[in-house]
Amino acid sequence: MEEKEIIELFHLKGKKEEAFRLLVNCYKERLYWHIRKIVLNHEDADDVLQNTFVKVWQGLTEFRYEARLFTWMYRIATNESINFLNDKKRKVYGNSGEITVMLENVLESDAYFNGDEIQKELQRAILKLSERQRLIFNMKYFDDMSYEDIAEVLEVAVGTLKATYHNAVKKIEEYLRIADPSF
Amino acid sequence: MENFDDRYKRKNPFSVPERYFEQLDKRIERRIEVEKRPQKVPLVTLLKPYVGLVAIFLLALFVVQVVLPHVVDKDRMLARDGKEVTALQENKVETFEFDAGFNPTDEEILEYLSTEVSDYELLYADLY
Repeated sequence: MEEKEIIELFHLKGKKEEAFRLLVNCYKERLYWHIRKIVLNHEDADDVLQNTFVKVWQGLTEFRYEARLFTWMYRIATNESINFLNDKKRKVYGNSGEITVMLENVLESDAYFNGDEIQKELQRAILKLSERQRLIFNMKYFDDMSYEDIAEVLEVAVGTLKATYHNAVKKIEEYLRIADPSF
Repeated sequence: MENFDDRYKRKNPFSVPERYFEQLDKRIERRIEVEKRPQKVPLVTLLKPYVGLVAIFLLALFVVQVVLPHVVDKDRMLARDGKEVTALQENKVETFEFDAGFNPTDEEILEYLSTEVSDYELLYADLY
C-alpha cells in the first residue's frame, strides 16, 4: 500500500488503528535497523522504536505532506535516537562523559552482535566519526539511501552530504589501515 | 570504495532476538493503547502551580504579623535614644487636673509669671 493511501485511510472515521497497523508493518524493520545502528544495543533500539511510533501516532493527524511520510518517520527516529543517547550518557557518565566511549562499551558487550572481528573493527571505526558523519555514513552505506532522501531526513544540502560522506569514508579507511595494515 | 566494499560487503552485523519483529506489532499496539488512555494526573501535579502562591501569601502574612511590629518598635526606641521628638510625643495632649488644695501665695504667682511672661507683656497688662 502506498504512503498516501495509508494516510487517507488514517483520516477515515474508525480506520485510524487499521491504517496505523499497516504503517507499523510497513516500516518497523527499516526504522528498527536505522535506530539500532545509532544506539547499537537491541534493548535501547526497541525502546526508541516504540517511542518513535508513539510520536508518529501522535503526529499523524497533523501530517501535511511537507515531507514524505517515510522521511518524516526517519527524522523522528533519528531525533529520538540522538535524544536517547544524550539522556543515557548524562545518566551514566554525567555531563563530562563522551557518547563515543559509552557506545564503544555498548558495542563490546552487545549480545546481539553477530558480525566477525572485521565487522566489529568497522563498527569501531564508525564510532570514531562525528555524530553527523556517523548518521550519514550509516544511512548511505548500510541503508543504501539516496543523497536526496538523506538530505530530506537531516535537512542538509545534498552537496554537504556528499562531502561529509566522502570525508567519513576517508576517516574510516585511515582508522582501518592503522588497525590492520593489510587493509 | 571497491576494496572497502569487497571487505565489508555492506553486511549488517547486528541481529535481534527470535521472533522479535513478529511480536513487535502487538507490543506497539499495546503501547499506543496506553497512550490513548486519558492520563491520570496526580493531585500533587494539579496543586503544584498553587503551592508557590500559597507560600508567597504565608510569607507576606508572617512579615506583616511577626517581623514588621518588631522593626517598627525598634525604630521608635532608636528615636527616643537619639533624643529626637517622635510624632507620637509631639501629639501628646497635656492634661490638667484640678487640685483643690493648691493655693499659691502672691509671691509664687509673681515668680511663676516672671518666668512664663515677658516684661513687655506685664507692662502691657498694667496699661489695661
